[in-house]
Amino acid sequence: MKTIGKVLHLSGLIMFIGGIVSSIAMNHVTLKSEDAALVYHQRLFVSEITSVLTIPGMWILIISGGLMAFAERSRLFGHRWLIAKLLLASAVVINGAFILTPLVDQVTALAEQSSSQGHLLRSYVTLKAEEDLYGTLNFIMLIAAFFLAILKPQLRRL
Amino acid sequence: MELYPLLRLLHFAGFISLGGGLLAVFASEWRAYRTDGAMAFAEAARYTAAFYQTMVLPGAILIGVSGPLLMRHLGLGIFDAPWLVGMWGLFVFEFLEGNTVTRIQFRRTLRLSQALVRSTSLAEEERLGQIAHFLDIPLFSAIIYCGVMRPSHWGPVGTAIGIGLIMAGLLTVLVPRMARRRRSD
Repeated sequence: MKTIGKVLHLSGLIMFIGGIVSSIAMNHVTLKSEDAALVYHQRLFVSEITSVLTIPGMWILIISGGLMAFAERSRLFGHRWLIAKLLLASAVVINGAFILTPLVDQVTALAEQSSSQGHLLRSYVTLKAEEDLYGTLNFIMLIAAFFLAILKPQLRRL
Repeated sequence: MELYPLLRLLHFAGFISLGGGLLAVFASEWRAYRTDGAMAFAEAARYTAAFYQTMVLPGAILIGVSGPLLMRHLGLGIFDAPWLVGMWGLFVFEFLEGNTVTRIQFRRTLRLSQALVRSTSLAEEERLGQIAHFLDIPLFSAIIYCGVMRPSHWGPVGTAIGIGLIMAGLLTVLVPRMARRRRSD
């Protein structure tokens, strides 16, 4: 069960981080564009990547993480790095599922409105900045969790 | 910091970047297949190129550097274990294929799509450059299988490669058909 959990966990991580990084790459392509139609098409693609890669990847991570935690339940709270990783992963899931996912849909809807009006709406710019902020926060937490999982530091008390 | 955890970190980071990039490329190609508009096709080709440059290539370089260093650090010879041969063999194949056939094709598709932007519709032959990419994800999955499960016999390694090739064949046949059906709906 542990090995299957590892394969699934790595696959989920690849999908989740892959989805986030590809969204960052797409944002970079249209970073300074004021073309509402181009931005709208890019947002459709970001929404698609979020629904086929990021969200399924997140659920695979949760399920496989749960499987591995169940397999290691006797030693689960013996390592501080693991507790820190679980806390970070919980924060990533809460931020991703309850804040970022609805934001992505809202930003795409505003991009559609911007496209039909021929210019980027102020509300789009505001909400996009909010999405960038929560997205960056999630990415930083995810990278920190990844470092903890690979390096397994002792995290001694000071 | 000790060398081993650092190399392991780089190796994992490389796999995440490469795998994520290949999945993003697949999503981009799926989008290109489904569209009739030259503009959306050009946009998808542009993103495919962006994913290659920002995710696939850096990921492959990280794996290519950290992999041999990990082998050296662990004292593993290149033919010591079937899973190891499976990992580096498939990686080298994918790297060569990605930097020859696939790279030429996605560059060609990008150039073609930029020239097509003024057109209103898209001919079927302009999509043909996409097919080579269907090999990437199944073979990458076989590499992951070898790295995580570490089979000690050749049978499971060969089975994983065989399944990967069958999956690539199925994707090559089914994806364009599914996309065509979606376009006609």
